[in-house]
Amino acid sequence: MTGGLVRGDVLKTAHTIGSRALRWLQDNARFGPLPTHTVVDFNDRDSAYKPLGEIALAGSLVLREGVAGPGDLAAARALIDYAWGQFRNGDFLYERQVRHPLMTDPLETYAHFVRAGIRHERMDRLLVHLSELRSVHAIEMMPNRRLAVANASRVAGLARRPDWPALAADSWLGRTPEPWVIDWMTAYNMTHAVFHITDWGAHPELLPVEIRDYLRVWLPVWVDVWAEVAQYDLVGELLIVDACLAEPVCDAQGWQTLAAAQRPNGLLPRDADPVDEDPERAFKDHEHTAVVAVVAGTVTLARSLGTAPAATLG
Amino acid sequence: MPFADTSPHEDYTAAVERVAGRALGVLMDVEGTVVPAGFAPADPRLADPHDPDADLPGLRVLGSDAFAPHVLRGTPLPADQAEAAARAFSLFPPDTLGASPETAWIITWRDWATARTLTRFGLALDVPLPGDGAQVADATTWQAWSVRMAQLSSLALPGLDGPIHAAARRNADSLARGVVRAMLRRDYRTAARIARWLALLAADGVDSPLELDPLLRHVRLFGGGSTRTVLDTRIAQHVTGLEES
Repeated sequence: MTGGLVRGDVLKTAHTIGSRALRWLQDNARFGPLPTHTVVDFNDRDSAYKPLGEIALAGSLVLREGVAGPGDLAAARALIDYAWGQFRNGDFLYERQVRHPLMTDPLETYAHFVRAGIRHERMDRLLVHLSELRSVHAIEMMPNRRLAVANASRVAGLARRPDWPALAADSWLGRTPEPWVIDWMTAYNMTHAVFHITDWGAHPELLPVEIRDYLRVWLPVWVDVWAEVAQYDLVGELLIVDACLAEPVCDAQGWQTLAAAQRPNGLLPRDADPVDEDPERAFKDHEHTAVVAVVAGTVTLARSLGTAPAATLG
Repeated sequence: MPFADTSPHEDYTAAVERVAGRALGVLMDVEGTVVPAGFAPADPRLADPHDPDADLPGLRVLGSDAFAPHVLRGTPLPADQAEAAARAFSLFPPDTLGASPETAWIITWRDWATARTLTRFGLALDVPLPGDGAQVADATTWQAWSVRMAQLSSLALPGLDGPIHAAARRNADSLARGVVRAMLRRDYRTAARIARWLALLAADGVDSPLELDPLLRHVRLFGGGSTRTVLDTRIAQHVTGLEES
């Protein structure tokens, strides 16, 4: 049984999709500014806070891997600088963390900027202090969210070492569950457990061997079924998981699905619903999928080239 | 009472379900008296007691699956059923089954399995010899390949062996992926059929990445009540020697 296109075609497609998505993000980021005196409401789908963090994530990975061309590297740097500026050079994140010491999103967002070499001195001091508090570590949250915080702490350079094997074992994947009982939300959570354990593909070797073997068999099935129902955003997330494995297992089919769905201007729709022609609405609706495409293209290309991420983990 | 309300296709489907229900009864209880509630033939009016040939389409479609319970439980095949099987084959030769040139080889293999199974009960059926099974190796993806193996699931019985079985043994992961894909697409019939291959491999000691017991139970609870699909799950369960539940 052959796997469709040869690996070289996968890489070419991955690179093209990621590069075009990055340019679309750059062309449209002006639609996502943070309002002055903003109150962050996570249930507000139009909130600018989360997208800015996601844009910083995508940019930080493009810079970390260093496999993009000069134009894409400049675009990534510009996007990070834009997001950092929107956060008032980090003051917004710092003030939010001061106001809500038990909330994890300021740390998680800040970590993307740290990955890109940006620091905020008062934020650093605050995070070191908070990381020493038992209350902070005792916050009740879903296992994949706990992995997210652990990875953000690792990237931010906080000294406290989480028990990674225990955290991974506690996730849905850690139970190596029946692969035929998975739904859309569980699939998203599953992908993020992998992202955080491996720091977005920087360290495939950190994935526990049982999880790696499990994904080797089942990941192609999930790509297949969600590609069939045009869940492009989730397919992209699953392809990032593929790039987080020491040896990718997915064939070209998922990438071809995304390539066929991407518009000439770089917009990759999140699903098969009609795309709103208003560019501001389109940006809010499909910004996440663009971030996913940039990350998927970048990490896939980098792992296949065997490049070591610039940042090392403590 | 004539059943003018039913189309030939409905009669045909009813015959398949009826024969599957009888086979299930044999498998679940050696006396053939127990069919799980809800799995009995849906409407007794569809079985015309005056037409001895009403079940023949069902026998023809199910092929070796109709007799598998007798093989698995070691019970003799009643003479009238053996005769009915022979009559079904003469009434519906392979070229009447609506196969395309691309799928005719699948019918040939299924008929081979039926003939081999009936040989155990002393009945000789004249069926064409299957080829070398090269077609099953032609599928380019695990998706297409596993669907072909679903169509060939009536070969997945202890005592039958050949190139199709060898291909199954070489591709346990592709079978498992095919089952999971079918489950997630809510195509429980295909899932149950591919699971029969995994059950056969498990009985042969080939490792499978799937736990079959909860999967087969899930198909019975979620699968929409087709007796034929339930029969597939029960055959699979019996082949692996799993506790019935």
